[in-house]
Amino acid sequence: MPESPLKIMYLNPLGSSAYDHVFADMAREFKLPESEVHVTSLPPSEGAFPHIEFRTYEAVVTRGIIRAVRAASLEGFDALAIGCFYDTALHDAREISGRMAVTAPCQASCEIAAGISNRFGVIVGRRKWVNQMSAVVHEHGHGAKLAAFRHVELGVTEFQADHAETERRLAEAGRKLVEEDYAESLILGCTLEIGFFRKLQERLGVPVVDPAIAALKRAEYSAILQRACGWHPSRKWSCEAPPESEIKEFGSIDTDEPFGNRIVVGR
Amino acid sequence: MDAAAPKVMFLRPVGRSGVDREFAAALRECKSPATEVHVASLPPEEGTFAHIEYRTYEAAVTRGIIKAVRAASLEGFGAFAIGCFYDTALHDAREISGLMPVTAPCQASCEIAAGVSNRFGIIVGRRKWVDQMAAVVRDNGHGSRLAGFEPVELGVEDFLADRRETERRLLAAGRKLVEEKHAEAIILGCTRELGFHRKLSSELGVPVVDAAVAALKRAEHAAEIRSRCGWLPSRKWSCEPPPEQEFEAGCRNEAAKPFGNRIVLEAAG
Repeated sequence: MPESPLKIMYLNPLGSSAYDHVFADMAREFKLPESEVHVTSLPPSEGAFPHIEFRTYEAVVTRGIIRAVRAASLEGFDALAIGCFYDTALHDAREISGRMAVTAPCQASCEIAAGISNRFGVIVGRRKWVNQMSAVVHEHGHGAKLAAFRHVELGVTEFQADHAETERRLAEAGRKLVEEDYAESLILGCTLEIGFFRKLQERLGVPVVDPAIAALKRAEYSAILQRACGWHPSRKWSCEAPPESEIKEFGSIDTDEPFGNRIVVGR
Repeated sequence: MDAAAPKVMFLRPVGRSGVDREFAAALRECKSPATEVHVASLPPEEGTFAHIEYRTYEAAVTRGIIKAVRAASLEGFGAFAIGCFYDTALHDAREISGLMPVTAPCQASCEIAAGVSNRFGIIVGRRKWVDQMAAVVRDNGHGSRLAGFEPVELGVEDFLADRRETERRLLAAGRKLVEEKHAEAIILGCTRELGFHRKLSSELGVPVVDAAVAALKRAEHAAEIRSRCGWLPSRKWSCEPPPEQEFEAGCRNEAAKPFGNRIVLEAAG
C-alpha cells in the first residue's frame, strides 16, 4: 500500500446532500483498499436541485462544479469523478483541474462496456435525456458501439423510491435492449440507478455497468496511472488553463466554501 | 471473486524470448504491488519472428496468440494484454478468452491519452505501420483526437540498439507532433519504445504514454473491476465463443505448448 492514500473525490454535482450517503455506501463497498474517497455535494447556494435532468439546471450548477474541482485540485486530490451521466461540465472541469485527473460516469461506463463487449445499450430514466446522452456517447468515440437507449419512465428521484418496481422496469428495458436491439452489455444511464446492477446482470446474462461505480473506478485508475507512470493531465494547446493572475483578479472561483457536504470514506 | 493476488499476463506475441527480460524489468517498475504479472512469449514453433512489423508476420503469429489466450484463460488469469501496438488479434482473442478480459497497447494508450488530453500524436518506427495503426485508432473510437503519426525511421529491433540515438529521434518526432501538429499528449506507438516515456515527458512538457505499460495498467484495471464488480466479458451475440467441442476438435492436432517462455513478477507481500 502506498504511504499516502489515493485521494479520490466523488462529487455529487448538485446543491442537495440528500443522496450523498448512498454514494458513500457505494464507495465503501467498491473502492480500492488504498483509496480515501470523499463524497461531496455543492452548497445549496449553487442550486438546491434534487436532480439535474434539465440542461437549465446543469447550466446553473456548472459554476459550482468548477469551484469544487478547483478546490479539490488545490487540496491535493489525485482524481475526481463528476457524478452525473450527462458528464456535466467534464470538459470545463478538465481545464481547471491542475494535476488532478477528472472523469465522469458516461465516459467511464462506455470505456468499460467497450472493453467487455462490442455493442452496448443504455437504460435511462426519461426519453428527455436521450438526445443529450447520445451526443456524449458519440463525443467519447463510442457511437459505433451504441445499440440503443431505452427509457423506463422514471425521473432521477424516483429510482430509489420503490426498489421492486424500479428493478422490474430496468429488467424489462434491459431485456428489450438485449433481445431486440442486440446489446451485448448494458449501462445504467443514471447514477441513481444504483444498487441494481448485480441482480440485473444475473437476470439478463450480460454485464451491466453501474455508472457511479464505473466513475469511481476510472478515477482510481487515473490516480494509479499518475502515481505509477506520471500521466497527469496535459496543459498544452486546448488543455491550457486560465492564467492564475486572472483567476485571482476576476474572482468568483476561489471564493467561499465550494462544498455543501462531505463524507469521508477512509482507507 | 479471486482471493489470491490478481494475475495478469503480458504476452509478447513472437516466438522469440530474447527481450522478455527487458519487458519484465520495465513492467516491474510500473505494476501494481498487488498484482502477479507473467511476461510470456510464444514458442518458436509459432514463428521465430523478432518483430511483427508486417501483416504477413501478424497473420502467422495469430494462431499462437489464440492458443496463448485460451491457455491463460483456463489457467485463471484475471486479464491479458497482447504486447503489440497493432493490437494484433485483439478481437479474435476477446472471443475465446472466457471469463478473462483482453486488452492491447493501442486501445489502452488511446484511452489513457484521451483521458489526459483532447488530442494526441503517435510516434512510430516506420511509415509502413501508419496506415494500419490509424485504422486501429479509429476502430477504438479515437480518430477525431488523432493529431498525427510521426515515424523515426527505426525498425522494432532498432529501438533498443542505440538508446541515445533512439531518444534523440523520439524527442525530435515528439517536438514535431507537439509544435507542428498541436498534439497535447504523445503515445509511443511500439511496445519496444520502452523506457523513454519519463524523459520525453519532462523534455516535451506533455504526457508521454508508454504503450506496453499502458496495456499492463489497463489489464490490471480490467482485472480489478472484474473481481470487485463482476464485470466479465460479455458472451452474447457477436461475443459468442465457438462451441467448446468444435474448438477442441479443431485444435486436437496442435502442439500442446502455448508459451515459449514465461517470467513471473510476483505480488508483494
